[in-house]
Amino acid sequence: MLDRLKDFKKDCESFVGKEATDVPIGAEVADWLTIRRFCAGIGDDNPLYKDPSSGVATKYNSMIAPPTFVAAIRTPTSAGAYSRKDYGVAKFLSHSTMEWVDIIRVGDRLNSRLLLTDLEEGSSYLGHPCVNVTSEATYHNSYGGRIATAIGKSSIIPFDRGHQMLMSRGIYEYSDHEINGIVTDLDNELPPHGKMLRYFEDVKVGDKLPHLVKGPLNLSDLMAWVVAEQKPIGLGSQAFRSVKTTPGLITTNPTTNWPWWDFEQCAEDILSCENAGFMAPFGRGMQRICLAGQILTDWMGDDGFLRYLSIDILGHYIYGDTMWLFGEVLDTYKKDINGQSYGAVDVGVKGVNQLGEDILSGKAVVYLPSPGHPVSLPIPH
Amino acid sequence: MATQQSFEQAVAEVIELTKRELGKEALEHLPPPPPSPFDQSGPPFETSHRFDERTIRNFVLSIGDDNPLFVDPDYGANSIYGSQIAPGPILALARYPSAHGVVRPLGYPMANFISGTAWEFYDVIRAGSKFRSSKVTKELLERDGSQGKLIFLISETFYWDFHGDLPAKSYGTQIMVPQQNMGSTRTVPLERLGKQMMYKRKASGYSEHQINEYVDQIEKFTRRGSDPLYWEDVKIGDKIGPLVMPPWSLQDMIARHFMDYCADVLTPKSDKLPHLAADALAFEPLYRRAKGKGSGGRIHPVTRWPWAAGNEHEDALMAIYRGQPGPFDFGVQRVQIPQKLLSDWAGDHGFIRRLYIALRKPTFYGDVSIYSGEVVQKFKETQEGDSLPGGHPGRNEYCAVGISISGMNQVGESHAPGTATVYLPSKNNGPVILPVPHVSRPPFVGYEEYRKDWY
Repeated sequence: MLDRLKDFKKDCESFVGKEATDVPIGAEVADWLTIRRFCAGIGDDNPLYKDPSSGVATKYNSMIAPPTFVAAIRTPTSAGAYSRKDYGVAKFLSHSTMEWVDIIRVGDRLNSRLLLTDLEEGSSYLGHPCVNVTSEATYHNSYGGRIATAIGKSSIIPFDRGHQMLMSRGIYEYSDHEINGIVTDLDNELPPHGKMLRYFEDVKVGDKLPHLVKGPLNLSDLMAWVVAEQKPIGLGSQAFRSVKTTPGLITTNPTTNWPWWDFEQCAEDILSCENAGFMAPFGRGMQRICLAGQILTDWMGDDGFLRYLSIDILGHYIYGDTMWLFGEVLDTYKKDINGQSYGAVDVGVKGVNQLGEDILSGKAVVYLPSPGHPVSLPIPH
Repeated sequence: MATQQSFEQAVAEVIELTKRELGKEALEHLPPPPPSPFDQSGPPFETSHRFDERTIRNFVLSIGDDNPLFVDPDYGANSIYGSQIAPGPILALARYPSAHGVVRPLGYPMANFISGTAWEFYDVIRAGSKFRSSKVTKELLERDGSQGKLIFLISETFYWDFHGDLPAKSYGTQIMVPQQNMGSTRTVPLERLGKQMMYKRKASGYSEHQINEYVDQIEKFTRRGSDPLYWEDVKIGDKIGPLVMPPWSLQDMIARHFMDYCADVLTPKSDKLPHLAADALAFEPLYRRAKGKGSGGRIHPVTRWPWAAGNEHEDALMAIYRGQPGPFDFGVQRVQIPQKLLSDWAGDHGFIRRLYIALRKPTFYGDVSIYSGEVVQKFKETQEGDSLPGGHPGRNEYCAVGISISGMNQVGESHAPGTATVYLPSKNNGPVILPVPHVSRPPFVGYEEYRKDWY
């Protein structure tokens, strides 16, 4: 392992098992506007997450938030000592697993706790040696009810800011044929299954989920995600003072030479993204995790419940890229939890870009109702 | 058909039709449409924001402030106000303080820019408040600019809380710049992109000496806080600031979106336009919205995607569609920034009664802004009010100072000059009594009055 990774790993060791303080708290209330902002950040137009009036007519008696809204409460993206010192490294979210036990209703007050749970030398991240920092968030509502847990793995790789490129490809130029293909696929997207029931008994192994098309990725998509995450953003002298407290995030803007530039903002910024090793702005990993969640919630309908989602990030998603999301039923079975029976469906999920490259892959478990047996919530835990 | 018009006919039409809107409610920046939970009737129109503690804090961060009076509920509870308060310009979130004129599906060949806001404040904005507003288009002025005709659109906006009180009103200046290269619609055809640029300056790079100078000024800037600044201790000629804003960034613009995304509908309500969702900001909803507008969308200059998002402000690749050489700021955000210059100088006991900021040039990506002020007048003024709805009765005398504001950038351009009237506590007259008495519908102040020496 390179010295800089050793140095980083050594400094992180004392963080294991402790509260992670490097990830800001996001949404504290699931109010209508915050739910809408989250959905806007993933392009989710499901009425279940926007219409308070018809939400009252659902089994939840309320408008609810999509399950991946937990990412707006707090992302499980701790990177340990990363922001405390310039180690000569970069971080990427390489994996996340979320497990839900209940829904989030509009108006819920929300709490979270984030622990750094594991630190390990990884085999590699996209061909780079890495150290993996794992953190686990637990989410509760203000009544003490647990909503979910989410685990995230931040892969830390050696990186020389401003002197190294991680990806040689720039913004993709589409042919007319490719544009027509994307338009056709977008126009052929099916609306969310909605109030119509999808029973467990309706589903067979091998069933394909309706696809989703996410792209071509533009700055609006990237900015909407920054807002969706709900991490407060300062500017001016406030941002200057803030970045001074995080030496590991300080970099020099390659366009202006300003030396107090927050490295984190290079992701969306075409005029400074080369400092992060990219020729174009690039999407944050957690946005992709939540995009993957949408293909499941669209398919399962209002009465289904997304129990589990585990996604590996396999490649970058840069400005101009288009990602097709696919899902396929892998297994169906009855799951008994503390005497409560659930109709479980395992779904394989895949995200493929315009070059045919897999950029995400994972598995989900959806609980579906059966005739006379709605999905009972909360899941015993 | 609008698209068969000449450029000149399109410009004449927008002027003529906008004149017919004078005196009417500007049906733009309305509450998010159904199925949102907000009342769609009005005026006055309900805002989607409730200014709770967190919303105030996030707003304050988005204009570069971190005054504990605005971000710390405990500090606010122990202040003279007894609660966390928000700086007055937060009301720009309740309703965008400027009107854009008439609309049609493919737009008119105009580049629009907010070029100033003038505020009259009568009370502080307290945590937990929520507002309704009415915005009326009041004046249309035609002026000759260096690159041709300019159209100034002046609006007046009232902000009432849900107790019926009126803590503020604003006047907005919108400049509409006809763009010949757009032809007869709002979009520049790909082959004409870059042919008519409004500015050519590229992003600035800074020397070590400049950086050290700016950092030094940022670190020297102080906040007065709870220590009262008495009117008697202020002299004409006193200098305020400078307040230095580091190089403008994309993140600074996203900070604005942190507050405005999904909160209202920009596009005016019109039977000529399709229903536009306030939350169609990304992916499929954004595509469907762009496609729903019909042909004539922006073609992305690199990907060639024909339904490109209209991020002319933020996206270095799309700014050219607005005739700009690079990303440039949101004027409505910049006009709010100098309140920090004043509130940090006057301290918690001072009250900004009037604030006018004019925008002369864009702030481009990488621009440094240097705001400073000078006390140019000291005077006393008496305010009277009535008991009609929205009014506040009484008669008080206030000790006021008039402040001239300068907003310069790193290349020496004056981009945001302005004026302010600040009420200060007096050793003889006592504290600033709030609310400031005012009549139910304080009279309109026109552009020619607020644009110069408005104290």
